[in-house]
Amino acid sequence: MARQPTPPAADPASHRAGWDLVPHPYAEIEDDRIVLVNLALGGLLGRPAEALEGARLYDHVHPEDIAVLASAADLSEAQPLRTTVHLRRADATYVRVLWSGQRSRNRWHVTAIDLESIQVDPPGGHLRDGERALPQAERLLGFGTFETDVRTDALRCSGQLMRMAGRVPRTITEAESMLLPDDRVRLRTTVGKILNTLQPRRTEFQWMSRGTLATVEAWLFARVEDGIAVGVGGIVHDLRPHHLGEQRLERQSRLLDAVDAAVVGLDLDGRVIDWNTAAQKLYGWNRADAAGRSLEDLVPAVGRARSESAVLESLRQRGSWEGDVELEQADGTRLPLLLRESLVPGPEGVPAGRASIAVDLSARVSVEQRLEAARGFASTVTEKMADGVFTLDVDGGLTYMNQAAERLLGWRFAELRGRSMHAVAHYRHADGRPYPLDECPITTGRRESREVVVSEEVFIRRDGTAMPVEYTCSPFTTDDGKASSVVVFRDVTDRAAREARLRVQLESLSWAGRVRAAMADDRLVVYGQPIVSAGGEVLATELLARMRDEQGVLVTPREFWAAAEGHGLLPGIDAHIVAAAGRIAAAGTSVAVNVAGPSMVDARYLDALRQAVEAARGVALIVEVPERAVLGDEAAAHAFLSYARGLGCRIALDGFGTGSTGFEYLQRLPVDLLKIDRELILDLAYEPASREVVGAIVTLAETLGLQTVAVGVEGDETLSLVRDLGVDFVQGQRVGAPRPLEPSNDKEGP
Amino acid sequence: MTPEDGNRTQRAHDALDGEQAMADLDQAIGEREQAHADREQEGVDAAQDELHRQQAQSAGESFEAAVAFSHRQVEMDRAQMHRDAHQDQLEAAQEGRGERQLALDRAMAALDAPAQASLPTAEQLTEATKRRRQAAMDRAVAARQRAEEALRRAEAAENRARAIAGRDGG
Repeated sequence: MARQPTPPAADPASHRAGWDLVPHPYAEIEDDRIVLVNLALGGLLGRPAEALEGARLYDHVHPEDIAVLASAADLSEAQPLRTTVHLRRADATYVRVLWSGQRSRNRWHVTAIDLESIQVDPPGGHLRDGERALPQAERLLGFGTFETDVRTDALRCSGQLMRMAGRVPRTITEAESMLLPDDRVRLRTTVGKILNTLQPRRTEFQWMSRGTLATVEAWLFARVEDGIAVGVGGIVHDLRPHHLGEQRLERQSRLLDAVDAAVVGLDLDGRVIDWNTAAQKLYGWNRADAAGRSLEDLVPAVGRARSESAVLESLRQRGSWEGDVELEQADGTRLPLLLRESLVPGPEGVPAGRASIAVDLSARVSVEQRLEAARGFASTVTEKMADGVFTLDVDGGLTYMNQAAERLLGWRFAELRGRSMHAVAHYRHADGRPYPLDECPITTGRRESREVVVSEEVFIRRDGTAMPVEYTCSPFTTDDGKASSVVVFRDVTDRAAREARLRVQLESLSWAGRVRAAMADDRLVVYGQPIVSAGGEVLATELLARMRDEQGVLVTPREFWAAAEGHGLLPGIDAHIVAAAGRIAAAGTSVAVNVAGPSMVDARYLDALRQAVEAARGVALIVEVPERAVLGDEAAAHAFLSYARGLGCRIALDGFGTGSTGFEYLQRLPVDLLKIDRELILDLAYEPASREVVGAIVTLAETLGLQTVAVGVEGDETLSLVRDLGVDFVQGQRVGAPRPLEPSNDKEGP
Repeated sequence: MTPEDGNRTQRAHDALDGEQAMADLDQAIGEREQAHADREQEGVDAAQDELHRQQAQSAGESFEAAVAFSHRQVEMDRAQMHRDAHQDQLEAAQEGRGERQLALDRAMAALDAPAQASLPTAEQLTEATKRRRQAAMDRAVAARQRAEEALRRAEAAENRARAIAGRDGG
């Protein structure tokens, strides 16, 4: 602790007056007698200062503290005294103080800092703890002390003053350098007056502290030694916090005036204390006129919109109240306001007043109305459009679906809100294969924030049926910044069906063209497959049509037959084959030829058949007619079969036994052979019902005097079965595979 | 009976034998179709049982799983509907065959009646007549078996209808 200031001794009245100005308790003691008590210490002890002066110090301290004070007599002048003692008040209670001072000759100059008021140490702490109290008190109370000696230019400052100044001036000259020039002159003048009059004075000046200009208040008094003023002592307060507070208030006031909302300060009873410029403009009253009146009195619309009791209840419950007010302005227009009132806490947290803030909502209301209108328009458009629309959140959950989407998918929006649309309506492909989420274009587009356009996919309706759709998926961001996507889709069932038909037609056209070209280029090839009896004799060789493509690759009828039939090319093919039959039969081989339904009524074919029979020179041809062609047009079949029989051909009914038709036509048509349908033969080994059918066919043939041929015999077991069942002839891989009958350079097809 | 009467009777028998052979083939084809249809129905029943089992295991799972099950159930219902329609066709065809067979049986009985009225000896019963009677007996047995099968199918259809009613809360 810095040395305590030494007040003048020559003029006791002046000396006392100086210390009385100091707001902190101060005393001077000689031996154990109190010789001076300032007003602050008298106030602390509840006694007039004069009543204490001349009394024994020990009579006014706690008995336990006497020993400590007595031991101070052993201290030298250079050793400061710092201890805590309990001083007795007028009401016989004790106040614990930091008793801090220094001896000058036989006189102690001490300060008594009320430790209970600053509560530096916890109650019951050791008395010696109070030794730290004075410098702490300086810091807490924001003052520092100093003394000067004009004879030596010496300056001594307390630690707190050094901290306040931000440096450690050792001389008066050095300290003066910290002051502004005007203040320096003025302070010198003031000190001069003090030294001359020995009267203490108060002054303010500014110094540079830590790079900023600080304003301080100083209480100065003369230091007198041997009747001569040798310098001044003083206590310095930093006024900066006070100034900062004033500046802050001023800034707050300017800030409030700059706010585009009417801010009104009210007392707890709702009377106006202050309001800002915006309030003045909004409500039409100036500050002075509004002060002391309630808001309801000043603005009737506010009174209509709120009840004071409701506001008070809301303030009590929630600390605030909020409501809408429509303010009628001078020109008759109505201004929508949001009025909010809240409690304003005082320094100790207790409500000290109320604040009312009114915000003009007219701009916001206007924007909201326009936004609402825009939303309404957008909603109308999306709800009325024929295309389905739905939106998805960042996780693929449904956030919106229009009426068209509800109708097309069969779901109501409320049923699917938040659900994964992929899991509900997009989880499989048109062919039934699962559609993994990671492969879904909607998912990938959403994740990568890009638009996707898909023209051929299906959405699954509520009833599980697949709906062909085309759709676009576009990313967008919602008002609240969330990534979303919108899917617009349409049902393309009709278009998909039309396109499928077109594809088939195109395919058919393509094959028809290739068949025509093959016929023109003589690229139709004749294969033969034997029909043999149970004993292994060949009844005939069935001629089969094949086609070579432009590259010489062999093409089976399965690929081109439908196209050829659809484009009327079968009679031409049949004529080609029957011409070959004539040539082959002429060599002595009995042959069988297939006749398509259209060929039975085609004049060119009928002529070709006649020529083939003539070329065969008596070797009988077998004409094979499909059962379905006979059933399709029995009259035409009857005419053709009679014609063929007339030429000397034998007649076989091909593909017999799968249709349940009554079979009476067999008694009307000239048929010699029944070629049992391949389907019945292929499953003969494991289908008892097929064996029953084949047996029945054999019985029928025997009854009608016909012979039977099993087509598609491919294994030993089947061969054995058909023989056991009494079938007359067999045909198939097991007894003879198809092979080319005329020299050929064909390549095998795929 | 004059030789002319005997030839006429023989021709009538031959014609009827032809008719019967056609009817038998028709019946064999119909039974094959019914056998295929029964196997298809077994497949549908097995798929339905599997669906029920999976549905029971995943009871209380997600909404999406419930939708997937409902879609599979719709497919099952559709398959069953096709099956039922096909079965109706098969049964109608069988009914037609039954009527045809009944007519043939009556014609055959009418043809055999004069011979029985003249009390023919055992020797007079030709092999053909014995064969026809045996065939008629076989057909009667087969018809009874078909009737039993039809009853089983009808019961299965009734059980399915009950299951659907229970599923739909009906």
